[in-house]
Amino acid sequence: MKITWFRYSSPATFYALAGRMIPWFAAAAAVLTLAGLYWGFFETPDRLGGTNPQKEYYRIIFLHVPAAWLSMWLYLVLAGWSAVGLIFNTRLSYMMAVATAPTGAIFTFLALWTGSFWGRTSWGTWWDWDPRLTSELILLFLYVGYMALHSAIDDVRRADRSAALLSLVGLACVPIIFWSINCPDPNECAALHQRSGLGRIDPNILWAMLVTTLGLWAYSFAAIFARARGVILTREADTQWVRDLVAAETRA
Amino acid sequence: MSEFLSQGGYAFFVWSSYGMGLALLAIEVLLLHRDRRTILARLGRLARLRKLDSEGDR
Repeated sequence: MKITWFRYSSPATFYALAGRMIPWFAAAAAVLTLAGLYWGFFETPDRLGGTNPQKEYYRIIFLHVPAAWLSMWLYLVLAGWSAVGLIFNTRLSYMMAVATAPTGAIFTFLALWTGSFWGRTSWGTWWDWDPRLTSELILLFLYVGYMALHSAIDDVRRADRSAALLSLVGLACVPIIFWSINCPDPNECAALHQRSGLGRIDPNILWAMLVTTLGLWAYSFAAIFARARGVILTREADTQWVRDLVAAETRA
Repeated sequence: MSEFLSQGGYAFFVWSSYGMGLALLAIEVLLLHRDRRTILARLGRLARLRKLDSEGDR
């Protein structure tokens, strides 16, 4: 049997596949995000007790946590495609990395923005140089740095490789964000984020958060695939398949 | 409905968060649509140029 691992690494094949998948991801994104937010707003208690009591403002969590998870996950995706590109020198991997960065940057900014509004109500401050906030801010700079470096180099292949290298260097930031709350003694580390155990959260809140995360994950697929299709068309403009495709589009 | 909108008096914080989320995703989708139209228009012009070129050679 012939294994066709590299079939979808051809930009022409992937372009068509992504075009067929975008509507499905967009529909899944709309349904899951709305379902998750509905559950989060209407099926959860208005106030939470415990050591860190919360009022209605804790509902920012249903956007904040998915955005923060996706900001880290999309950076892993970005660095993953960069690594594949550097190792196998495949064109499509670099195009996927380029397409991933803006969506990742948006979720990183959203995590910081929503966290700021939650922080003002919950901790009494818009911003603090807490380990997790600071490392998330560095992650935003890494996304912006990746895009800026890529657009500053005219030669596309050099831009791909340089920006890919930068993204791999920045990879160290993700575990720092992830583990920046697991401080052994809360008195010794000034961490505003408490050590969080998903098992201790009210199941309604947990489910709303997870379903919204799935919805925004599906959104990322749709947005990144759409952007990748644009990158493919731009970079493959001189190939016969793009010429045929443009001829078909203009006739239609 | 107004109870939902007021979010127990924390409307400003809750809706500033969700408003920014909605705005950024809407802008991203609009930009992606605009970029696709721009790219296809440019490729169309390129195709017409090539056609003119090949006709000029004859």
